[in-house]
Formats: sequence, C-alpha cells, structure tokens
Amino acid sequence: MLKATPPSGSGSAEGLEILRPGIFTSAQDLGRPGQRRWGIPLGGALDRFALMASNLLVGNPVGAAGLEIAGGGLTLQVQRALLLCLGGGDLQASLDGQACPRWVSFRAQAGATLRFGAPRSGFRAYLAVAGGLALPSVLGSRSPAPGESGRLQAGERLAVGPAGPARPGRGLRRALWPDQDGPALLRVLPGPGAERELWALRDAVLTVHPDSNRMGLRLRGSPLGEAPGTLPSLPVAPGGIQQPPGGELIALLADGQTLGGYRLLGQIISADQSALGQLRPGQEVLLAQSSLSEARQLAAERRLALRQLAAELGIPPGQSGLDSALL
Amino acid sequence: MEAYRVTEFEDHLLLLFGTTPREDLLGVIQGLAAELNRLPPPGLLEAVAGLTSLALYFDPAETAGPPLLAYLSGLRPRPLEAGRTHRLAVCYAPPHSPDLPWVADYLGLSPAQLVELHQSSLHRVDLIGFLPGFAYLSGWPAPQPVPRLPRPRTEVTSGSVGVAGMQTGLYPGRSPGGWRIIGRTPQRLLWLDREQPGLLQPGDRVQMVAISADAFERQC
Repeated sequence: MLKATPPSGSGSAEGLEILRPGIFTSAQDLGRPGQRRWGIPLGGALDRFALMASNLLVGNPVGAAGLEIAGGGLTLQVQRALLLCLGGGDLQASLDGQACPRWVSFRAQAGATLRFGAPRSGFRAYLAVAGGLALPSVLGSRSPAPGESGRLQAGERLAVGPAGPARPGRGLRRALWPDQDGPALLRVLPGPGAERELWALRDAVLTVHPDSNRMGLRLRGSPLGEAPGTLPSLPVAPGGIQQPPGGELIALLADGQTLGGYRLLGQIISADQSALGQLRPGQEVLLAQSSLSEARQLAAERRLALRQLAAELGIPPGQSGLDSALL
Repeated sequence: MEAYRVTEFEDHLLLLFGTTPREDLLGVIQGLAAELNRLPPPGLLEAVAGLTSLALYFDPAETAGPPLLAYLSGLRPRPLEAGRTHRLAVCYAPPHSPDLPWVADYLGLSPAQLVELHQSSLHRVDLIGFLPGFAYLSGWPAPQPVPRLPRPRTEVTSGSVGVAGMQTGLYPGRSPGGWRIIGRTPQRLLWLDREQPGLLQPGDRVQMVAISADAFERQC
C-alpha cells in the first residue's frame, strides 16, 4: 500500500481549497483491499483506471490520493503552482475560464480557479495532483474512513505532498481514452446457479436509477421479476450484481457492503468496472455474459497499457505502484 | 469435508455449501476461514465467511482458483473451538436500552427476565459485516423472533446492542439502524488504527455481563 509522505519542514499545508463542493467530491486512492473479513469495504476510486492513469501522467504512483468529482459543480482554487491532470468523465472543466484538457498533465499557477460544469460524458472526473493529496492514512488508505462519506465541504483545504520531476504536456494515447458515450455495455461472469437469469438479461435495456451512490447503483428494467426473497448472507464484492426482492437490480460499487443476502446474479469483469463507475443517473446499460478467459485477457491488456504508460513517462517499475498487482 | 459448489471470479472464489444454515456447517466454514487467514497460502488476500458460504479473495497476479482449491482440500478445519470467548460488559439500563421495555413486552417477559435471558446465554459470532465491524450473534433463546423497527433509526450510538429475529447485533460505530436496542457496551469493538481493526471474529463466543449505568459511565 502506498505511503505518501506528509508535507514536512516548510509547514506549508497549501495545495487546493474547495470553494464550492459540487454534487459530491471526495478524496480517493485505491482503497483498502484485504480487510473485508472485518466488514471493511474496499473503498477508493470508482473509476480506478482514470485515477491510476492520471496519477502516472503527473509522475505519481498509481495509488496516490486524488479528487473524485462526481456529477460536477465543483469549484476549487489552486493555492500554489501545481502539476495537475484530469481523467475520467468529461465534466466540462475550465481553468481560469479556459477549457481544461483531459488525460494530459498541465501546470496551474497559484491562485488559479478550476471549475467543473455538468457531465458531458461519464459521471466522475478525477483530478491527480503531482505529489498526491497528503491526507492521513486510515487502515492503509487515504480514502474516507470506513462508514464516512468523506464529502468535501466549501472552505476545506487539501495539502499536497512533495512532487517528483514530472513535466506538463504528458498525455494518454487517444486509443486508451475510455468510450463513455451511448449505452454502456458491461460484461458479466455468472454468479452461482445464475446462468439462466443472466441469459434472460441479455436483451434487457437497464436504466440507472437516481437513487444510487458509491455503495451501489440501482438498475431498473430487469425482466426477471420478483426475486426469491432473501438468502443466507454471503460475501459480496464490488462489481457484484444482486437481485433483491422488488424487481430492481443492484450493482455493488467500491463502498458496497461486504455481505449480501440477495441472489448474486454475477460479477462485472474488472476491465468494465471503470465504466460501471462512470454511469450516470438515467443512463442505459446492457449486460453481456463473459468468460474468465476473456475477463483475464482484458484485465491483462489494461495492466499492460498502464505499464507501458509508466515506461513512456520514465517512471521506474518500483515507483509506479504497478508492481502491487491489486489493481 | 462438506460438499461445496465453486464459482470462480477473476479475483475471488465463492464456495457455496448449500443454502440452509446449520450450526455444524457454520462451524466448518468459520474454521476454514480462520485457518486460511491465520496461514494464508501464497496470493490469498483473505477468506471471508458467510452463513453457508466462504469467499477466498486473492491476487490474480500471484495465484488462481485451482491452486487455492487444492490447498483448501488439504485443510483440516478446526471448528468453532478455534474461537475466543469474550466477556462483554453491557448496560441494559436506561438511557442505553430504549427498546428493552417493548421487546420484553413483545416476548411476554419482564425487563429483568429479558436481561437475565440475554446475559446468561453464550452468544456466538455468526458473521462480521454489513457495516465495518458489525457483529451478528446467535445463541440467545428468544421465545420468538423479534421484528425489526418499522422505520430504522437514523442514528444508533456506537456500542449499541440490538436484537432482531433470533439474533443480537453489535453496532461498533454510530450508524443508522433498524435493530431494537436493548443495551449498550462501553467496550470498543473497532479500531481504525490497528492492523486487526475488529475485536470479534466469526466463531468467537460472547458472554454478556450486565453492568449499571454508573459502571457504564466509569468504563466509557
């Protein structure tokens, strides 16, 4: 797990100041793997690829803490000159009134204002800051402590750690930009005894319900009808698709609970979980059955793309955080 | 070894031992989980016990389903005896027990009889989860299942001891909650600065020890 160094010596805790928090902005890293037996959810960025790629572009290890800006409306002030990168959804960000580029590092001067509008594609933007947000680590992560929303408020100031030698203008190849337009296609591995149900969902157009949060997305439009009721609690994980009574489906996200008492229809493959984290209320979703071999192939491709990016940027494997494979 | 059905995902295995909870089965599952977490094979992150299920979370770069299943088949679980027994001080007096009179009345007991029944039982930790550190305990002989609150409280104080169905639930932190609160423990159940954040693990036993409201204040 990444252990960034808190700001030292100078006593300067300056970095970013939240002027307007927007819909829901929180500081996130890659969360707390391996603590589910204590009831501790994974947590961390919902679009892990966006946070990891943005971090690399500013010279950070992939797991440095950045901002997850959900739904837009955030305004923040840059308190000292910082190297930044925006990834994830297009939330019409502007820096001092100028449209702000995505997936490329840029320098913001002290006093600059970064403003986010409404989502044009995707739902969550990620702001990586060279040096990472210097927040206290709780159970190995700088994401909000378990059980806390971590929603940032106007006036909050976020300190930034010491930055490496990265430069502005380093970008992500266009071929690696996620496609966030149109209906989302999520590939799913079937849950125990749920092959038939998953097959029955193949033609369904599901819709993301507004009553969704970082714990789970509610999906409407399932043709499966009423579920058989509750089952003995079983361990569940982010990406799990549950069928509670009542006809809606729930796709579990990073803050989702560790145990569930509903039928588990399947598990969204890891390569598609970033897309899951970018769904916005009202968006249409299609599910398709996948296989372990396909899921592993796609995960390997994504991991390779991040390794190549780190290599292009001259970040040594030991410093990229990519050797810890829990991505 | 109990029969189970395996579902393999990218980074975890889900083992289903049927869908009917049984005390002896729970013991086997908890014994396996405890053993796997005590001595994890290479690449295993952790094992998490359900009521009739067991999940093995692993790092797919280091291991995969088949070697983990092979390792599992060589394990001899040591059921329940592996668990520790905790004595948990609980204040069943006001203001820490807002639902105790209702629950006693519902079960046809006096409040004193309810407290005696609850604290004289040896409870077992069935599950940890739902909320960070939330413990589901079974083992107290409620005369009948206790219904949850029709509308969950928006805030339950930390350490609250609730009952629902035939179970007892321990709330480690402040949270919303629908269980009926019959007491509160001054004992901390969750530490966010420890490597093992929770006091309780599945399979542990819990003996409640009734304390007065004054004693609660002193121990807080």
